[in-house]
Amino acid sequence: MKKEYLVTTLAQDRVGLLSRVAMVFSRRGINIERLTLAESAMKGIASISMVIHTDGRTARQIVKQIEKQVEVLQAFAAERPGINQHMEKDLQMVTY
Amino acid sequence: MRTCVKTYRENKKPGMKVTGSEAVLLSLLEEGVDTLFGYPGGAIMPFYDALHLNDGCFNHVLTRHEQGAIHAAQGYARVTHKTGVVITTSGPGATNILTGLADAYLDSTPLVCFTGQVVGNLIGSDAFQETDILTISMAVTKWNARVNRVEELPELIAKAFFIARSGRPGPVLIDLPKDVMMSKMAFTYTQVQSLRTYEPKMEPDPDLVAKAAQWLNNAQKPMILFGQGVVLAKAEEELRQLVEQSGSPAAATLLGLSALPASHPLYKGMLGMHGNYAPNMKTGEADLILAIGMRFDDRVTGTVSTYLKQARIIHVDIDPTELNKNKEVDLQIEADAKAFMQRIIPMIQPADRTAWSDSFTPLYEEEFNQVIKQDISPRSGKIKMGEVIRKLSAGVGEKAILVTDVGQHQMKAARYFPLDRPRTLVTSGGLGTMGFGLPAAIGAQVGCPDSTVVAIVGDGGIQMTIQELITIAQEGIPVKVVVLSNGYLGMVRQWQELFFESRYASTTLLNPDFVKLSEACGVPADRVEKREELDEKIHKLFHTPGNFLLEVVVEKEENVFPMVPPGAAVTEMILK
Ligand SMILES: Cc1ncc(C[n+]2csc(CCOP(=O)(O)OP(=O)(O)O)c2C)c(N)n1
Ligand SMILES: [Mg+2]
Repeated sequence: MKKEYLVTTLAQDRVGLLSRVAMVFSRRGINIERLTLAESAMKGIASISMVIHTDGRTARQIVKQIEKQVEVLQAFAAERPGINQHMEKDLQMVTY
Repeated sequence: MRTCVKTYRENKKPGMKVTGSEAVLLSLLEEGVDTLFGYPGGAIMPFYDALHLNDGCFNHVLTRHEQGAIHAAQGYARVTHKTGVVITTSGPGATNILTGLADAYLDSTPLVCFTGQVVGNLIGSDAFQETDILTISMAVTKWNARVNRVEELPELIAKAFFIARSGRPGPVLIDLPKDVMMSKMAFTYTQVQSLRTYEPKMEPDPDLVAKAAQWLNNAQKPMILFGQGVVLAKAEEELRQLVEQSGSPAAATLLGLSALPASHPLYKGMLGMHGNYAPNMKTGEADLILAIGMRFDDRVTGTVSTYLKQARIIHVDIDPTELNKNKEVDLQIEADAKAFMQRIIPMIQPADRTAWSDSFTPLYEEEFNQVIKQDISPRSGKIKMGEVIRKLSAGVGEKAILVTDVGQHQMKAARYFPLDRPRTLVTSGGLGTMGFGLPAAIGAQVGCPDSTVVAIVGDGGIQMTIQELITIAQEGIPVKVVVLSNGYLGMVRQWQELFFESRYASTTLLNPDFVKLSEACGVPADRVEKREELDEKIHKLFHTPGNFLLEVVVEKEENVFPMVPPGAAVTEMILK
């Protein structure tokens, strides 16, 4: 079943990073519904968070495939906890 | 200064002033590279000029197409354990290597490819022969980068080589703007041994190894499935020990072939769509599957939902994205195949599983009687691919390397050319690239000059890269090329026969006269159509000094069996 996921990536920032991460989604025909990219609290490490709709198995595979990119330190996916506008805001905050 | 390589070799002074092009050469030297495959053009000219000025320091093979260069580099890498190096110009030179990048990416072949690029201030302007190769190649490279400033060159090249060869190997691309190659810099080189954001996990988790050992020790009917990961980890010896210690029957994926000698009593054959009957059927009976360095490709699993249903599965791979990707397993172990086997072997209790191992034999006999016998020793009719391949393997001698193209002949070669020495098969597995064979054979021969490289290619596939015959002649590369001519794109024709009611849509080939064509390129050639002449012609192929092309005209509508029909379970494999 498709659910809403927040996929967060922490990676060494460099030209092309966003394309490499986005490629993992576009290859599977998954639309990125919302996206934020900013420097994390650690200098030179970017934090990218993306909201997508997919099933749990695909979400897990996507996380591994993002982590496979050389620049990526870590990636993780969080399932949307409940249909609640505030929650979503909170979730996005987590990445900063 | 002009012969920078010599100067550098003699006094290795850090900080030596060189151009960007020379820095590339010195970096290659530092990485132990002595062979390059490439093709020049405008944007890469400064590099070729530096190469020319350092004449004799590197062996550069000029192919006749950049696709040929990259497939040759793949062949070279696969037989030598070294990283293949490719040089092309910008634009069309760069896009011409894409098929090879995709092939190397799927088949885990370490490559570093250098592409020329237009000068920095023209990038983005649609300049002559500008193409955005970084974006284009992103999906088929493990990593890629452009060198923006000459000072970054050594560091990026060191990183490229480290990424290409470590972990699960793969192709890397470095884009070199022309002005960077012409700028001056102070050269210092340090090899990269680790990267903060990229740390392949070599060592398995000890608890998981202990669990795997326990499961294997307790199993009644274990089976070891191995892939190219074993070859890439140089773990052939460990595999043999593990198989013998545990008494487990073992079977190979296409790219795993040669990791365990074909003559080993516990080796039960090849898995998958056109693999052997016994190992495929027995995957439906095993109680434990230990899969090492393979990725459960759909050509191996057939319908995944029913595959290995009754068995406990342990999957060992260095690439964590492969674990639980195609097949959900009971125990995932992220590790290098060699490290894993070294840890588990001491924990394996020697076991006698002869009855289980022997139970493969009747199935082998069934396959032999229904398929193999007719394939390798037919009495009448036209020459069959299988008999040619058997005779080639018998005639080639000790030091054979088998290279194939893609199609029916590839499957027949994989089935009937037994490989006893490690690293002796070069074939395009994951991508199934027609046109791979001939250029890959060039690279394999350059990498292993003392081996006899036999390229078995189809009459369709050879026409995709046939211009490399001239490369073979110019470089004096002694490969033995065997064209199995059936007048069809045979593998597609077989599917049309079986699944499209014999409607042969666009699979009939009008072939050139391969013998004349080969001779016109400077490669001696001959043709054989009659069974009675086959032995003599194969003798001629192997005993003519240097390169030779033999066209064998074979049965037109032969099929490859056994076969797992598309959509079927591997245990539904059919023998005819
Ligand atoms: C570049 C490329 N194009 C198309 C295919 C699809 N294909 C797979 S096998 C095959 C037929 C190969 O014919 P041939 O080289 O004559 O070998 P045969 O099967 O007859 O032995 C084709 C067209 C492919 N694998 N690669
Ligand atoms: Mg053919």
